[in-house]
Amino acid sequence: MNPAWRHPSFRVGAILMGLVLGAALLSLVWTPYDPAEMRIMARLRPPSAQNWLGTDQFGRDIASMVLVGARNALLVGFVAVGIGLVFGVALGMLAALYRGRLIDEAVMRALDFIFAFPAVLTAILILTWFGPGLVNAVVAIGIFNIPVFARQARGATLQVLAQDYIRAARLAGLSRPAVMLRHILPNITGLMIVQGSTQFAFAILAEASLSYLGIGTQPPNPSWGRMLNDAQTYLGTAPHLALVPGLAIAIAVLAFNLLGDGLRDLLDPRMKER
Amino acid sequence: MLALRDLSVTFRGYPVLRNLSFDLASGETLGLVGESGSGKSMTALALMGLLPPGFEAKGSIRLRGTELLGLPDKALCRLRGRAMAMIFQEPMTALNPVLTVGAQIAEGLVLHGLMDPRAAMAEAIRLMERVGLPDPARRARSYPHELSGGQRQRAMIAMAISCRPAVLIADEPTSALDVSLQVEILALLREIRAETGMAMIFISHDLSVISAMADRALVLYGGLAMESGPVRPVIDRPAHPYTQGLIAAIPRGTAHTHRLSPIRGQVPDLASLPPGCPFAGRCTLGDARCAGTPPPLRSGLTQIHCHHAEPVPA
Repeated sequence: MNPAWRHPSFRVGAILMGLVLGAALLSLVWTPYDPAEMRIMARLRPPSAQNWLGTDQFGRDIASMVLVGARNALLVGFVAVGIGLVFGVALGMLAALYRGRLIDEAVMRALDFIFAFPAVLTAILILTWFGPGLVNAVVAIGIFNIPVFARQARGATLQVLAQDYIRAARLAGLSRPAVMLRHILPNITGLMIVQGSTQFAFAILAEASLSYLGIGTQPPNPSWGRMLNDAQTYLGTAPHLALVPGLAIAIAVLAFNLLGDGLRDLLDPRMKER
Repeated sequence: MLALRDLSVTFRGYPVLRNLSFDLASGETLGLVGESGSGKSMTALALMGLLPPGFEAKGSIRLRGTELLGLPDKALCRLRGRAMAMIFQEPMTALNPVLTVGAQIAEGLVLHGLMDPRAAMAEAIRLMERVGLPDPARRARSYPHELSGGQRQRAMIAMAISCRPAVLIADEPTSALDVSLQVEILALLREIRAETGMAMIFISHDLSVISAMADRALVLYGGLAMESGPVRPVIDRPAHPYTQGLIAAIPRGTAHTHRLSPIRGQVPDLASLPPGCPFAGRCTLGDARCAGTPPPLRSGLTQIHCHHAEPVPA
């Protein structure tokens, strides 16, 4: 049996992520109904054989909306974490390489400035400036991710730079950039993937928050956050409207947090079996 | 082949190494002897062009006629690992924990353009077999933590000799190992030296190791060469009071009849070194002149820097 499976957090996280990923992939080829189709005669229906998870106030099929919502959530996660990872790791390693010099101070203080504002507040600011929408929301969340990765990458790089094997690599004739790519990057990759997983969960939550506020994903494109907002009015009469997207968000966030937890242990080569 | 002339290293104005000169021919081994802080490792790092920030080197280091001091980093990178290689004391931390041992040995060969990655990996396995690592094909895929201390030091040696360097600097390569392992590693280094004809700079505080490995010895104290010359006279008939003290301080298994004879005093702080002889405060022959004026170089069977002691006539 693969040793990864024996790690409980990783196993549960992977199963839940498989569920979300499966839903997202399924929505590409098939949904029970068109998630945008309104059937006013069948509004606010509880779960039944026709509509597995019921219908909303416009008679849209909730199961279909949740499936497509999974796709949007994953898309947001991938792009937002990608932006943060690429720029954050590059800036963090650069700052570490020039520790204490002007470039280090400039980069890190600029990132501190971004970090000083609460993430969702920063995103709201960016979205009111550039207009609401999925693309702008993803970029806004991605920008907030940059300082998170940069700080971790800088700290981890400094730690690795102090090791003897970095000196050994330099003695073997590697240039500074080559040492960065060959010896430092692989050493901090594990940490970055773990952080990436956590930030993935955060990105999904942030997109849901922004959509809940109405400035993220725009209708008719379904989003878990928007669905929660719509459900608010009918919380007393049709609680399943809030329960289903709420559960979806919880599962997705839990999946990536558990996955990150498991990966942190599993990616450490010292933990590998002999 | 390698020639140092008046190499001086300073750290924020304090002397770390003072006017060090020596020559090294192919196949020859120079033993650098000294206590901690005597400037042994700084000599090695200056040779490799990798002094830590804040350290400055002056003088001349010529390798096959090329002046190394002041060479840009790019040019030095081509020489490091290729023309000069280094192994050091701590085999536990000198290997990257997330790369396989084979990949780290093969790295230099690919980097210096000697082989493509596939051939380099095959060569790495051959080198691992050469340095006596068991089951090299499997070990090449191991991570450093799966190897013992002795095996890691062997892997380090394989890394260092992979590009067949002209000069190998061994900085206390056996100090962190068990005595039985020390003997094996020293024997391995001697075999490899004989096979490849490389020159070696062997750094150690252990005179018995130096006498087993080196053709010539150079005794450093406070950054100044106290005594240098062929290894036998330096150890058997030392002329300099510091070398004499160092040899007298070796325990001889006679502790029940004789007292150990340590050198009195302590190694001085670099910042408080006198402008004259660094050994002045601890020397049995020392007087006011020693601390004030740098000692002259006097030649006999060995070369010494001393105001008082007479060199043994050649």
